[in-house]
Amino acid sequence: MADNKKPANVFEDKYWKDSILIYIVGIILAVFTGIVIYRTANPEWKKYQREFVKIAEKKIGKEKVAKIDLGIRQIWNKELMGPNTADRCVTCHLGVDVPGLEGDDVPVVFRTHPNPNGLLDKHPLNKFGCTVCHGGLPNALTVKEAHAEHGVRWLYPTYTREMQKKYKFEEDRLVMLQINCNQCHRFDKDVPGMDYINLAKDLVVEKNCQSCHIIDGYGGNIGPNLTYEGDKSHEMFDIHAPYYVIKDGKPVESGHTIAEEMKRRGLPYSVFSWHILHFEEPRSITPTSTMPNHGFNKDEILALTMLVMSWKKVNIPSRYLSNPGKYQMLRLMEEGRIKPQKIEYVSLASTSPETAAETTAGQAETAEEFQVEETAMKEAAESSGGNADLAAKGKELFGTRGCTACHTVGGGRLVGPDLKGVAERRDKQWIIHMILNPDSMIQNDPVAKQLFQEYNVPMPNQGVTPEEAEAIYEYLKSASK
Amino acid sequence: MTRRKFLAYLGRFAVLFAMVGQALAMLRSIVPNVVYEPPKKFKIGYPDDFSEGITFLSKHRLFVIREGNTFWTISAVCTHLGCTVNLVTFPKPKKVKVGKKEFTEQWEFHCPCHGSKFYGEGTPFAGPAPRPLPYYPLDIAPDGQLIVDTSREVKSDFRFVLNV
Amino acid sequence: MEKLSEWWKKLTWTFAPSSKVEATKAVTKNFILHWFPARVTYRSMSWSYSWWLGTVSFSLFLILTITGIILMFLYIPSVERAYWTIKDLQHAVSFGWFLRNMHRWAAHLMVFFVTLHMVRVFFTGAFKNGGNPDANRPVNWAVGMFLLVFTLLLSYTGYLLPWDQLALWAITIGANIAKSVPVMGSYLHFLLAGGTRIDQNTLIRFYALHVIVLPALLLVLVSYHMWRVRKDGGLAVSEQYKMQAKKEGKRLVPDDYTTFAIPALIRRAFLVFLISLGAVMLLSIISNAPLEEPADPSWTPNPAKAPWYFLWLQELLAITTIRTPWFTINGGFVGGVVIPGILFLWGLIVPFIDKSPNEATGVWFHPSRRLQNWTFGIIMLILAFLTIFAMYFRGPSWNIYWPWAWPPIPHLF
Repeated sequence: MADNKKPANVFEDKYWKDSILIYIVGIILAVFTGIVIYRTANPEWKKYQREFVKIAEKKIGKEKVAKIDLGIRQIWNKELMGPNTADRCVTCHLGVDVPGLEGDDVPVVFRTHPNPNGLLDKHPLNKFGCTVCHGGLPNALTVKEAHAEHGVRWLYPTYTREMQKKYKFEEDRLVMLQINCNQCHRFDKDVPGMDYINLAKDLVVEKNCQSCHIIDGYGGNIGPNLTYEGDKSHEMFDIHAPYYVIKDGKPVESGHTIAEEMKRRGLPYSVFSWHILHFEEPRSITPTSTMPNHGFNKDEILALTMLVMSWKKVNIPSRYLSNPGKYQMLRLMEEGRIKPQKIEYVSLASTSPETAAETTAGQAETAEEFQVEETAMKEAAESSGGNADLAAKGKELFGTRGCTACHTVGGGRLVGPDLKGVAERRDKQWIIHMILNPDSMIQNDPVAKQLFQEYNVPMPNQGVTPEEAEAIYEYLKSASK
Repeated sequence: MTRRKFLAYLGRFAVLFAMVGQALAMLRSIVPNVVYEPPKKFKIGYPDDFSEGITFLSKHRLFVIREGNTFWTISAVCTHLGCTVNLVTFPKPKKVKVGKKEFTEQWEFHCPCHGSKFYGEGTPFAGPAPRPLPYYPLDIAPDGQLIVDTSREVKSDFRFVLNV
Repeated sequence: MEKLSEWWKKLTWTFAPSSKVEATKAVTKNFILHWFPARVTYRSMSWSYSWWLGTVSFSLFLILTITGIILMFLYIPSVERAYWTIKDLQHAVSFGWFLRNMHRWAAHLMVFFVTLHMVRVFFTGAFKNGGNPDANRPVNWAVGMFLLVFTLLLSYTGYLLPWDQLALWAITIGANIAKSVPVMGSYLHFLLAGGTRIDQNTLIRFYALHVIVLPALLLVLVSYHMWRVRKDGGLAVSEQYKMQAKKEGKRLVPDDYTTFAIPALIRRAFLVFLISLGAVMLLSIISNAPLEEPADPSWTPNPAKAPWYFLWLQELLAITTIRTPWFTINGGFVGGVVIPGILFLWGLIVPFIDKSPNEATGVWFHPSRRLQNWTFGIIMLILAFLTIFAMYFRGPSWNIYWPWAWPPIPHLF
């Protein structure tokens, strides 16, 4: 080099090693930059897309697969999802809207979406998206995040078969997503494809849960209001409270907590598990609970758990709701603009797919108006039938009016006293009065007062008509013999 | 000496690569990969919802014209710089001549921004607009609604005839 | 080819001066480099004296500014959209994950290194003038204290922007600390939140503070801070040369104890920048910035923990509510305002009450400053202890647990 050209007042570069360090750090930085570029260029979803293409080409041919857009795909419906939220599930689940990918030779994640009962015709994929039914984290593009697996901070994971296995569902089909169906079908019954929820809704009627709980804005206030039970935060469930076992009809501390009970049974620490344990035996969670053990079987417990977890306040435009008028009615009841009343569910089973489609279309935007339904009053029993008929009628009413929730006839005491022999203990007028006006009886009648002190639970007014009360009395009289 | 020099160049190049690489990465990030935009193909309602003559769909910036069972659509986006043109209807039909064709029109489109004016069938006759207002294809969806595809243009003689 | 290399030389001569004259000119004739002094003392260049923590902090600030500007193109400060634009950054935007991780990690590191810088300055007695009549280091220390506060405020305002649970509750707690101030508390809260609740108004306020107000203030202050260092005659350790020369009765010749800022100082600064960048990149590659559930006022995550640099504060708030039979003072005021306020004020005036001799200027743990160092050291240790305690030993409901024995919190499913 031209060392001789350097000026005379040259100085020594004491820190020349810094240059070497810069080069070394530079090489490390270059490697890091390479890693960053590589990682961005090879996201997880590309791997799945390559896999899909391979499988789909074998099954339906290259031409059809070439027509499918690859890259990040999303379904966006501003009304349903929000301004910046989209379902990107279809980036990996590329087969959902491609006919011909049915069958066991296609992995389930790449299959064409099944269409039972014309489900997809009524809920078009490009409008409803995926997460509204299946749960999961929209916008996400990794399996772990999108399915909101354990460790992902998102409250609503995708309902998967693995999750169903954890809760011991004996099903190969996806059923837990019926929880989400019921957000828009809350006031429907016998909905095709919602067997678990349908079962639970029948149970709610059969056991007359509304005698003690407010459900859909109407019911008794002995138990907690369950109208929006599904909105209750997971933080509100204390799973570290003691778990009780029932011994000789009385709850006894088991020595371990609810969480430990969940662990023993292999249930996840969750609100869903909490409800399962609670439906199984309410007093094992809350020893002072007055809720009777209804002896539900396993399927019934799961169905009821799904139902209560589906009871949420929905923020969905009314045109997407089935029977939006009923939702409106509930809102008016909450605002106190109409008086609390039972909202009758509408059967969807009888509606054919064509008419169902018509109603959905007809509901578009203009269906905002609603109809307040008059609660159908059952015709009182005709007096003609004689006492035996009346007693039979009374027996039926004893079940449907919710008496069985607290009373038995000859089965021992529950929340309220055993009613065997009640017709001999008290006179007819007293019994009829107690059925019709329990509130005033508890306040004024000395016997009723004493009973209240003993049982500590006020008997609710079940809205029984005088004719019905007559029938129930006849039944109690006949059953007492 | 040469090896040392090579390593020095390698080091400098590495620093440069890292800096430029990251700068480009940051610039790449502002190129959107996904957008939240309404679809280009959309339903505009049932044929019977449209009255005879011209209807302006403000949400879609689109004119829909109905003559009996014949429908067609003209864009309301000015071809000059994209303002929405105003619909000017005449109390009496006007006779105009476009090229060799002569026809009567009941309305015109006037752009408020830079004074472009279009005849009723979309041809510009005043102002800076360089092209006629585009026509979009129209079809009927399975549920009976009219469906427009604004992702492609059609010629101005496009007409959709509804089979009754 | 000749022409090309000539041009190249014209462009790069500032970075590779071939003579002393050129080296001086390279600084004095260059607007940007004018920030640096023309000469730098050998001791200032030492790794083990300053650890170059100030340069690291400024490097991190640079990284934050650059990534922050890009993030402004991609983020929407709206309560409906903010969370989802962050999710898009993580998933759909090319290099979005990298940008966000870099920004988050650089922010954490900046808080950490600014604090370390302060600790270093204290233990070396570097806020002392050391008998130099032209220096005004106590003022620069006070400026530094404000820079630390601005750094914390920047981190805090940045926390709100993703609008997730962490953001909402960190800001709720922070805003309520302001509320606990007597007399003007609720007005402060109203002003900060832009209303009576944490909502869209709060978000846009914090956004404006985060992207322009605080960075601008910080930039102005940090420019002054560095200019001040130069005017004070370099790092405090440089005073040692003068004191030694005086003692030995020698005249100081610049060549004896200084070298040229170019290339030594700017090359070293560049190296430190590259190392900082490397550290942030490494962290960004191995660890993703967290994002919790979308903000939801109906439930608070259990436990709701502040970012680590505020944990000592959170621990203080939780244990300092004063109850007497006559009155109760909210711990939010005691632990959140009074104690940090006293610490800050003490920090501001400490160089003025430090009466140690000039010899203690720029020396690590000088024996004459034993009392000061112990006081400061113990305060820092207490804060560190509170931080670590709150981080690892506070579980659900702010109860004390072993870090491995946290009780499970139920999920929905």
